[in-house]
Formats: sequence, C-alpha cells, structure tokens
Amino acid sequence: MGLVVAEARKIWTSPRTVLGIILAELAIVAIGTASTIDSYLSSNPPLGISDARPRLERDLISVIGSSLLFALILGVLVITWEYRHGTITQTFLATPVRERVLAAKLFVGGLAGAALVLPALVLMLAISEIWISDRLDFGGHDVQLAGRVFLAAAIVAILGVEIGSCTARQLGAIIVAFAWAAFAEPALSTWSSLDSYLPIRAIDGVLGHPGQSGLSFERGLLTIGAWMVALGALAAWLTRRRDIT
Amino acid sequence: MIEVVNLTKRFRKTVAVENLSFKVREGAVTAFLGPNGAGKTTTLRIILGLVRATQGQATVMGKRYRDLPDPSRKVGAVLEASSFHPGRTGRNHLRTVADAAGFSTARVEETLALVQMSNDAGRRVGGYSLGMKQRLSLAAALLGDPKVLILDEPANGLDPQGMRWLRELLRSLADEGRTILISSHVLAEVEQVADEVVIIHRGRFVEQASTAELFARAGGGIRVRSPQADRLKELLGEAGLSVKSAHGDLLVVDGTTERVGELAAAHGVVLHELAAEKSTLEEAFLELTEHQTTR
Repeated sequence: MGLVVAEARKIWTSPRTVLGIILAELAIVAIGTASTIDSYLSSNPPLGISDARPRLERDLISVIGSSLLFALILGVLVITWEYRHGTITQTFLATPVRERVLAAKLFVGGLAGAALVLPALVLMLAISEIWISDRLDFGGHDVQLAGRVFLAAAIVAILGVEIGSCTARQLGAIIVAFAWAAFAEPALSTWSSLDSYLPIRAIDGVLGHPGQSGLSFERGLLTIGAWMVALGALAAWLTRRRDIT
Repeated sequence: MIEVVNLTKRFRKTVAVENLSFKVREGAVTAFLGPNGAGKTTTLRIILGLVRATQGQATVMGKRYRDLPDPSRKVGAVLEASSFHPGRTGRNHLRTVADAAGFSTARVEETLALVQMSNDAGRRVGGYSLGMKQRLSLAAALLGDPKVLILDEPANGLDPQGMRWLRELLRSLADEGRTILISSHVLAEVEQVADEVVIIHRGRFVEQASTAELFARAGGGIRVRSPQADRLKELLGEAGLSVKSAHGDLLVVDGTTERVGELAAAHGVVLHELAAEKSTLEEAFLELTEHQTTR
C-alpha cells in the first residue's frame, strides 16, 4: 500500500507536468466539442428531431476519447521521468524487488489515466450545457459509452507505463507508441488477417466502435488484456535486468 | 558486514570491475578510494543491487541487497546528488521515499532537521545548490536510521562549512556503531574520518589497510631547518640517520624529532625548525596507485 501511495504522490507532486497534460487535454476537448456541436448545428437544420439526437450525444462522448492520447503520455511519464531525473535509483533502493515497483506504477498509472477523463467529461458537458442544453438528452447508453472511455483510458495508460518500462526513455517511448499507431498497426492491418487482434483495434472494441474493429466489447477487452499481459511480462523482464548506472 | 567476493562487471567490452574482493568491517568507517574510472561507483551500485554483476557477488549482512527484508531500515545510500525531480519540493521527495519504505511523516521532518534542511524543504529541488542536494540525499539515506551507510562522493558540492558538517555527522554516525563505506576523491576529507581504506585501480583490488598503517607505510620524515645545514647533514650521517632530501637550509630526515633534536643540541647546531612531517592519505594513495600503474 505504501508503494502505491508513493507512486501516487510522485504524480501529484509534479504539478507542472500534470497540469500541462490536463491543459493540453482540455484544449483539445474544447475544440473537439465546439466543432462537433457546430458541425451538428450546421448539418442538421431541423434541430429537435428526436432521431438525430443520439448521434450528437454519441459524438460528444467520442470527443472525450481524445483523453486517451494524454492518458498514454501520462502512463509513459509515470515511469520514464524516473529514469530521466535519476530518481529511479532511490525508487529501487527503497524497493529492490523491481517487479513490485512496476506493479504499483501500473496500478497508479491506470487510475491516473482513467482520472484524466474526468476533467474532459466535465468540460464537454459544460460546453454542451451552455450551447445546446435544451437539445441534449444523455441516456443510459451514453453513460455506458462514457464508462468505456474511462476504462480505455486506464488501459492505454497501463500500456504507456509498460512501453515506458521497456524503453526507459521518455521520447523513445512516445515515439514507439506513435510509430505503432501511425505506421505499424495500419501496415499490419492491411497485410495480416489478424488485424482485428491488433491493440488499437482492440481498444476500438472496448470503446464500442465495433464497426471499426470488428470486435465486440468483450472480445476487445480480452484482446487488449492479452497485449497488456504480454507487454507487461516484457517490461518486467527488462526492468529486472536493467543496470541503473 | 559488507562483503564483495570475486566481483567482475563488464559493460560490453569494457571491464569496469575485475575479480574484486574485500570486506568492510562492522562499526568502522571505510574509505573506498581509487582514481576516476577505477570502478568505485559500479562496485557500490552492485552492492546495492542497482547493477548486475557479471561474476561474483556482493552481500550486506550476509544477504544480497535485493533479499534484505526491509532494506531501507538496514542500509542507507547516497549515490548521486542530481537524482531528483526538479519540480518536486525537498520535503515531497523525502515523503515519496518514506511512503515506499513505510516511514512516517514525522520521521521525514526529523531527518530534514538532522541535515539542517527544514527551512528549505518546501522549495522545489530545481532551485537547490549542489550542497543542498547532497544534504537531501543524505536525509533520504538516513530516513530508516540504518546500521549501514554507503556513500558515493558525499562531499561533492559542499562548501568548507558543509564539509566540516559532513565530517562531524559521519563521525557521530560512526560513533553510534554504524558501518560506513564512503567513496571519495577528496582524500583530505576522508582521512579525517576513515578507520580503514580500500583502494582499487582500474577495477582491481590494490590494498586494504587501516589508515594508520597506510600513513606509516607512506612514511613522512623529520623536517629540519638550520643555518648550519651542511654540518647537521654530516652529523646525521655519522649517527646513521639518512637524509631524504636537502634544499638549502632545509633537510628532510628519516628518524624521530627527539633523536635529531638531541643530536643538534649535543653538537651546538642551531635549529630554526624541527617538526615531524605528517604523511597524508593522498601520498599513500598516489604511491600505491602509481605503483599499480607501472606494473
């Protein structure tokens, strides 16, 4: 428990970094929400038609999905700033069984990633409320979709911690993650018949975009769980063997 | 207490430590000396489980550091002064260490007071001087009130007052019966606190001895200044005392102040100075490592 508290304290006592991530996230969400509403208003003149509503509400929930990017960055930072600033030495001196440190970071990183969705959700709701309050009606399905964004953010943050543990370098980890998202996975998905089992597709399944991934929520969760276990095992192996010089 | 047995560490083609063995006696302050690149830091990091040995092993209290139950209460370490998140305050840095090791917030404040950092603990570490970072590193090492302290260049960045403070702190910690292994290149500082010395060079063991033994081996001499230096030189030769060096009116002689003084008095030779020349750890160190280099 002490180790989890220590890892959580490391996040909330690095206010500039965390604040920077939250501000960047809020800026993206504000722009995304505004453009979603604007686009809806301009493309749906007959406002108030009941069957047009669910798409807007679903699209607004999708906007907070941009938090996943920041959850990934936060996950990477949770481990790589320790290597960057050399605090990993003190961390491993206090807890020489490195797998325990990694487990605590995965847990705290996952929680922090999910928590990062909250300000995005609040901002999106606030803008929507101010702009088109009388035309919105979030229902149980929307709550479920929002819940999936929280879960996906936790998953992505955990993957960030794992990638960061493998590279031990901040920039390296972020480049690896983006190279995977931008090049490797699209290339693999056109080439391989296993494209539905690639991690970003699996996260799409978790988010409830089966049209894009072909995976249901359950299969998406199972698939990304397998990726998390595999990458976690690699991260643990590399972390245990790494010389802290 | 600390035992290093046949330790070897290779970083690809570079051999940092080669077949190194030594023991650190319980309750003693042991200086760990060697020129830059000798392998001191690598050895300390292997002892602390931060670097994996290629061969051999290092144990503390009979166990690998990783296998020690509650290691922070047994071993405290200062390895580098720059290992801090610059945006975190000194107090919060210590709290993260305390949380992980299971120490109370009250202990954090006690330790900050011990290293005289209570007033600056609320500031971000990024604004600290190197000396303040060293004190904070020491505070982290002392959080668990450990029996063993492993310190890598703890005097780095300290001003003369800070060095004196560190020396007194180490002496008081040693007087409480703690085992201290301290690596340093500021030999003048180390010689004032060390009971024993381990010297390595190019990753290999050179010497382990008590500081007194090393001083004796380095052998100082008697410094004599006289306006009758030539006459005194003759008398010393006749008495079987060898003159190690002579420059004008100054002689450095093998022997004791008593013998030289009595000899001069007996023959009416005027002396302007008579003093035992104290050898330093630095001289002993240089002699031993130079000897290794020429081997």
